[in-house]
Amino acid sequence: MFFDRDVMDKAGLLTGDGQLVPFESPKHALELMDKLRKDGGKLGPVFGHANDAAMGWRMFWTLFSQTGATFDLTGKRAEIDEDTAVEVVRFMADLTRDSRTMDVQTAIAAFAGGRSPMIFSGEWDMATYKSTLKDKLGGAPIPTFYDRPAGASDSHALVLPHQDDPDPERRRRAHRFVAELVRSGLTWATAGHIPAYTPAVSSPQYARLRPQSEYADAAKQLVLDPPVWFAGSGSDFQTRMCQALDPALGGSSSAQSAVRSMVSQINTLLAQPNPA
Amino acid sequence: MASVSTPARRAAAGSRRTGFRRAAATDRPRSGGAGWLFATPFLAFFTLFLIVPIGIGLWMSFTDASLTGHGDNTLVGLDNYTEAFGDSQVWQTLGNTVWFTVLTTVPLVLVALVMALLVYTGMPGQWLWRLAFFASHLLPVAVVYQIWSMLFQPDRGMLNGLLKIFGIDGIAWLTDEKYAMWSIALVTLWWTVGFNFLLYLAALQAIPDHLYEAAALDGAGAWRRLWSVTLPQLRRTTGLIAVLQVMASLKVFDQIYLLTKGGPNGATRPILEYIYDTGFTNYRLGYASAVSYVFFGLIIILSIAQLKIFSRRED
Repeated sequence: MFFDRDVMDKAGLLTGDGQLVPFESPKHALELMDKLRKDGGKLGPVFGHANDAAMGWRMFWTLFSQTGATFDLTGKRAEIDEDTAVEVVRFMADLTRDSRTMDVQTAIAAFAGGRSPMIFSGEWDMATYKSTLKDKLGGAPIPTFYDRPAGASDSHALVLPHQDDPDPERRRRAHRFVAELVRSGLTWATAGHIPAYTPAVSSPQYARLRPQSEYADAAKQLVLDPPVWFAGSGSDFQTRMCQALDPALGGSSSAQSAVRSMVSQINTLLAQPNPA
Repeated sequence: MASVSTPARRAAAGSRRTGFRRAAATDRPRSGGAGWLFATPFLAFFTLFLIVPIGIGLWMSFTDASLTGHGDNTLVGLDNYTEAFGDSQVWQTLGNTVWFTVLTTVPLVLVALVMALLVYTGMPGQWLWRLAFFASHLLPVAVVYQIWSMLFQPDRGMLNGLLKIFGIDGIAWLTDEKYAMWSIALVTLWWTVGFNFLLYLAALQAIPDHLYEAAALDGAGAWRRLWSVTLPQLRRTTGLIAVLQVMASLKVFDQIYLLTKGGPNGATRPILEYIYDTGFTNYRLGYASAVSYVFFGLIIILSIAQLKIFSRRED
């Protein structure tokens, strides 16, 4: 997540050393957001999700993972703690109630344009924020609202296609090329992503990159999608989860119906034969 | 055996027309070989890019083919088809597709007709209207998506901005299940009405003037001429437009995929998107082929029925 240091400071949401104050519970977080609205004189936090095929699910999966509740997709039917899921969806809608119908671009515009001092979004959008907020831009891993830190994540991967009879020399060069890319993580980091190459992250140059170094710990609390064949970035599964969540976040349907729809969609997918 | 006609009798029966026949025979071009030669490039492409894929797709629909290459393409008989008929997603997305077709076909015929009549019956600056009505049809779908996603934007979009002036609360055009399909139908109307408009305009220009003159001599007023001359003369074109439009609407995919990806809650997901998602994001090529063949069959039945209805009306 990203925030406007000045406004957050004014609302008392930053500690003495410029860190985000801890949220003790969802309820506490909502109180602080009300304070932010009042003292900051702007919108509360925004979150772009409308018609997006990933953001709603990412946020849900983050918050749900923070509860540690059951989300087991290993059997023929999903075993999901639906009460907790409903609570999480309700909290999501409450937390982001100033951005009910915002799509990703609108939320970005609201934050980068100064209408809202706080946004839940990915580090890939950092450069846009930086271009308008400059040094006021602060970043942090998604706060822990429930019992334990967690943030839905994924990582870029380089896939070397399978070859039946590879030339060892060319393969070596391909590996070198990939290694070179990975070692150049610092360049990658300037655009916002957290490098996978740990020497890059622990380097003094990286520490000077702000707000990148402020949210680098997000890599320590990452949760990946459930390990089923149909999940993951760009999947139909994520699209369906987002589409089930959207009406609840927008206020046109309830959290219960969103969760019911999510569970039924998951069961539909679980019933299909695994093509991989 | 007695009923078999002898050559002599046949010749006698056809004697009246033999003169014509001979003429036809001599007129027919002899060089059948050259014709084939000219048709070969087309036939090659037609076979390679239509007949062959249709065949492969049909075969795939009986296998468990997977995009990951993991399946060994074993034949599974009719399993995919059985699954398709019992799959609630197939029915739901098919329902969405039909609903979209209804929502778009009716206005795309009526609005195009009204627009063509207005332009034809002498609004000043014909060329401007013709250009303006047809212009949106020239836009690629990505541009249409950009324009309309900005107009529909709930917080800063123009449509809600206009509603606000009249004190009406903003509408979640694309994210509310109640409105999403209507919004997409509206986009489609705006985008594609120009083509039907052009067909109607061409048909209007082809109506012979003497019909109107005769009607006017008989004392028919403007409305009378519209009902009794123009509209009956346009019947054939209306049939054509309706058939083309139903087929185009059933094949909807791109504008929905760009605007809502089938959301909210699957309310706008057309069957083609389901086929695409099944085959390309969920890797199940075999099953996706089966669903697409079910849909293909449906389109064929529907088109034949439609053609039958319209050709009967013309008789």
